[in-house]
Amino acid sequence: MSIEDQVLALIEEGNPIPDPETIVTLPAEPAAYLATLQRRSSDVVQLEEKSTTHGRRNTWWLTLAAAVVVLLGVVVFLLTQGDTDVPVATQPPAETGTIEGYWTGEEADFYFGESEYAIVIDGALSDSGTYEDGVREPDNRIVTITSGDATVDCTPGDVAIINYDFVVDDTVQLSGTSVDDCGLRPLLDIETLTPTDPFEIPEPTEPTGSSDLEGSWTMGDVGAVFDGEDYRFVVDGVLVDSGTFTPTGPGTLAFRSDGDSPGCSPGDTGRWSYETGAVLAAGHQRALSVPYWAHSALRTW
Amino acid sequence: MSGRDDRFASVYRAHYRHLYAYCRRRVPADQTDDLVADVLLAVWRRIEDAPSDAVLPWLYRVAHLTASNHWRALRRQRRLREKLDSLGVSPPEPVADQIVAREEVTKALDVLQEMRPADREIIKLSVWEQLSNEEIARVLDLTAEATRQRLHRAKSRLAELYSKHTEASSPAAQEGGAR
Repeated sequence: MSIEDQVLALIEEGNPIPDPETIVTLPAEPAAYLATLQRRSSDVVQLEEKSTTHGRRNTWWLTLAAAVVVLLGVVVFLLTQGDTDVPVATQPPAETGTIEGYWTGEEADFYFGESEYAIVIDGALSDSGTYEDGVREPDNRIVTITSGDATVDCTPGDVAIINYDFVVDDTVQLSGTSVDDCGLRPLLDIETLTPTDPFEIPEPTEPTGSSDLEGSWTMGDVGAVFDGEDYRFVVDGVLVDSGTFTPTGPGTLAFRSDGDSPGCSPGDTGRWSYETGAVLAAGHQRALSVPYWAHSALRTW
Repeated sequence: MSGRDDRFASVYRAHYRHLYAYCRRRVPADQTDDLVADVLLAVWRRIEDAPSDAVLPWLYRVAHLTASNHWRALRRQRRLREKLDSLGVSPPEPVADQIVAREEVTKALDVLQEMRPADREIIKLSVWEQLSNEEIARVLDLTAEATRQRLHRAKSRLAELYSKHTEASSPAAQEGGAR
């Protein structure tokens, strides 16, 4: 039995509830539990009813409530972050219907530009990327965010396209977050506010040899870093794609994107002949964009 | 009851035990009921979004997102506790879990706890919830292929970390360290 199998077996043994069917007591019948839930969300229900029957008259009230909550959030944030360098925030949104601006929710600050966002935690950029606004619920707003690529917390090769579903309602309550907390390279001006290097990318150098793929390569404006089974493509110091690679023969390798690039989808594959030049799949050509197209060693595969 | 309520009741009856087990596997026993209630509240509000098939992975996804909030709340509580400690005002410690397990199991669980949250969650979904890669993909909003790769790497990292712990705690290593 391998070490992996051993430790997985031990973890399985440590399952606090190996068989859910052994849970014998339910807290209440669904109807009774439902009544409890309905009571807990009664405020929300009332807000919904009021907004539909007295929509205009309640607009100022909702706006005022949102402004008070945002101000409270700012106060809480300042109290909890007093000894850190707090980024200079833009003005809070004038009303809940405007997504562009700056919000303080829970322990994170959210900056929304025209189509880009950034999340700052403890004064450091935690995540950034693009967002889509538009799906509205009766009592909240769902914003789908797709992160960019370079990461703070992710190891090379991790999937970095992440959908965040969170609710920005009048309580500025974050109701969900990423499947993991990969921080991403800044896309907004917030970059100037963060002192941390979001991702340490080795400086690409000349090819280090074909027998050992590990190392850094420079091709035109593009650097390629091969580390173990992971690869990273770097353009102008910015990570544009990463994934895994497999040597397929003398001077060739196949790579598979994890999908963390503007042009690649998860599972996209490509092939690279590294003695004669790069041979890329369409997705990677899009991902690597102009610098690669300009390189004479490239050809379409 | 309305159709909406009927739908909720159906999900509740079919999956309450699995939802409770999911939450219990991620938070201490004294916090499980609160987390379950929060998840069910979210489920009730979003019951129209529940798929007609594969409800359980959807339910786990709601629980996963709700648990993320729960963990943030715990971090805030920890910071508050630290501030209170610095002022000489310490609230009572929360009740710890009384789980007695074999030493090896405890060590494996400690190693799991040291892993990155994303790695930890995907291993739990695989080993404890016994979900397939496709089901895990629905919970984590990933593709099946990305899930397969991520799970593979998480298991490799787990084995590597466990090996390091085992080597560090071996008699030879301790003897060497004592010299």
